[in-house]
Amino acid sequence: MTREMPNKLEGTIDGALELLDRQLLDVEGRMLGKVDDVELTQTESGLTITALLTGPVALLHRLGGRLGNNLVTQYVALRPSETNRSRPWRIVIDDVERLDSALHLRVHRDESLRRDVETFRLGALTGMNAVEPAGRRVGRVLDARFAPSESGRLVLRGLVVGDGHPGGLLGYDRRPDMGPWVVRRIVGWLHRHTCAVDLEHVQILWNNKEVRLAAPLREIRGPALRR
Amino acid sequence: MKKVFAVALGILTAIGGFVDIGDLVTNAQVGARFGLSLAWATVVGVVGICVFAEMSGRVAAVSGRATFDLIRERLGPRVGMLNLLSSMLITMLTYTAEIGGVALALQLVASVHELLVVPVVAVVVWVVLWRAKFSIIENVFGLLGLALVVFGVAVWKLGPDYGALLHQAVGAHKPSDESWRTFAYYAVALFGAAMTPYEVFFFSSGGVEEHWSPQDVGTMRANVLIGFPLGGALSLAIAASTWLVLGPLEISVDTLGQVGLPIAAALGKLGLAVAILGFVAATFGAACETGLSVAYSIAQYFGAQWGKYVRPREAAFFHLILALATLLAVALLMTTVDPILITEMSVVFSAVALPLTYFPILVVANDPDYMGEHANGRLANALGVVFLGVIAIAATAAIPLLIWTRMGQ
Amino acid sequence: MVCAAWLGLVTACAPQAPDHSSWRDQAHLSLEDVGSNVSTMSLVLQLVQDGRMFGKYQQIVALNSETNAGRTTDHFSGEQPEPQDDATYRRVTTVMSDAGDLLADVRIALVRRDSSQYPRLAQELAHMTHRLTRAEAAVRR
Repeated sequence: MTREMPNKLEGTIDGALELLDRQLLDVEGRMLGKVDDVELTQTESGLTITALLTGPVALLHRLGGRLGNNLVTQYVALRPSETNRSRPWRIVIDDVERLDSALHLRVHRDESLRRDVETFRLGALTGMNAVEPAGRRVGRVLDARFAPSESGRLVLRGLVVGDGHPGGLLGYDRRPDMGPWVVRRIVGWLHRHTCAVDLEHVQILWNNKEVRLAAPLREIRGPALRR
Repeated sequence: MKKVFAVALGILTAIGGFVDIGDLVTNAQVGARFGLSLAWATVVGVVGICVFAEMSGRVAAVSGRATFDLIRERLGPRVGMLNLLSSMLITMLTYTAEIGGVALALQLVASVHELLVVPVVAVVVWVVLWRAKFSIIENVFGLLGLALVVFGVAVWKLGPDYGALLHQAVGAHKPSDESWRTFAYYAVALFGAAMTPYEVFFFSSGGVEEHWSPQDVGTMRANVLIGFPLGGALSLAIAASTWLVLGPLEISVDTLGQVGLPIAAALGKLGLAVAILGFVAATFGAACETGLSVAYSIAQYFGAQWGKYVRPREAAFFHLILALATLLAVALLMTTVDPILITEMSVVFSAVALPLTYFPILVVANDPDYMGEHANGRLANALGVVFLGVIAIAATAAIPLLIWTRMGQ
Repeated sequence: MVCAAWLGLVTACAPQAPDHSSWRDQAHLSLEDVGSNVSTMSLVLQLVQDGRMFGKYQQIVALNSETNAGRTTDHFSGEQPEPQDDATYRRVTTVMSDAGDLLADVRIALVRRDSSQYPRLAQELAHMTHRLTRAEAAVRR
């Protein structure tokens, strides 16, 4: 039906740009929701993508900050008798077949969601403040870069840090050749301070909602462009 | 004959965008007051919608993704939700107005009670959206709506001074008794009406319903290049006919009945009958388009299964939204609010929501990951950027003009 | 927040004329509206006489014209004139209510298909259009 596009899960991807808010399709092409968030679990290889999260709890958190938290609390309060209502619905990563313009699963959508585990989420990582050793805030985490490990699963390798101006999800700062020219220049100027930082220079503080850099940003920054 | 049906989607989309109940009355009103001096606004609108509908159609054909799907993906859930709420307000209001419009059109031929016919119409619309195949909807209402070509025939029959009309259109010669403020207001209103977001939501979703693939890009372009200019031509014909008949009598148009008077004057009872058929078909078609667009947008934001290409049981969320939207529309109409007033207001507000809708389309149409070799070329990008600029101007000017001219008085 | 500021600025900068709280402008617009409805009725009557309309359509248009004109008249009559405008106010409301009565007569004749009345009513409608135009000119002074 549509053109054959490469499976992006086999290469490096940026989580917020290419995974979040993507359409989920089951093995027959039926739709079952969007990737409302991505679950990250600490393994020997590092922080690994272990499941995709979908549903109201995952989505409401992504609406941001205090508003998001309030909405989730209210949602849970709607049915206090329901077990694990505050946990998002998950699709384990092994059920995922490929990623191109949508995320294709290898299972049928009927009863494919589970709700039993609570771990780290990509949505909580994006938006965290990035802080230098001296304590100065240098920007926000805009995205997280994942690369395949030996086990085949995607593991966190670096973060994309910048000012957080609008247009971060359009992709202009990750690929050099996207048109139209005028839009690319404007977005490029807005995001001129965007850069990538390797994971080895970074300490993620989940409870404080911030990311500590091991050295001043200008010493450890790399280009955000991937190609 | 099959070829004609292949462009039915474009024609139906254009009908909902150019000759729905609000546009029928607005174009007649503009024609009576300004003649063809605002024709340029319609032409600019036609080119603009062609540019963006082609892009969104191409994205749908190549990647299988419809427009609202992409809006959330590219703008994030928060801005996407903002977009959803604003588009929903407009599309829902328009859906309400269209159902009311079908009732108004039916009253012109049959002795029906103005309030009681509304729930009947709404039920028929809902059953059609629930049960009828997508291709039936687009073929029947797309082609029946073409009955409005009778306005062009009426203009020809009235034997006008074509030179004078052309002069007025090309030179944008505003009649002396109207102010520049109202001129600008109606220009923005016509442009906003030509480019309402639900047209691209419907067109791209319709493309996915029809299972377009990269080979169908040519068909998609034919839909765009035949449908929207045709819609624009119908708008201009209506304006010309009212200028010729109602203008000299200083009649200002605010009801659907007045829109048909030039036809009666030029072509008599037979023409009038055809015109009413056109009114009913166009408003019903527009009701289908806007109703489906409400459901498409909401379902595509949440990623739920949408579309009429699957059995209703497999897209339960989508059909639930359709039913609820129809119920809400009926409730609103039973308060005896005037459908035409609803559309006039929503048209101007839609001008404000345009940038949020069309910017993501331009971006995705350029993305090589999605589009491969079908990504935008230089011409598409140049036109896209230019029209984004026009849209931005229209969006910023819309509300001020609404306030300054007290809605066009 | 930017949008709210923009809206505030725009409303504050709205130009003075046409200032629709002005009674004279209201009178002018109301007369124009009633005039439009009277002209519509004239056109309908003429089309009926030429045999170019059919039953239900002419009734609906006639009824709409009568109702809309009546609504404008009622709305305007509720406006409070300045003491110096009292004479004009009386003149304008008189002509508008006469127009309303005439429109009702025409509507009744059309619904009854009483074609013997049509020529007389057509003349009266033309005369009424004249009166409305003169009233408009008087208001503008």
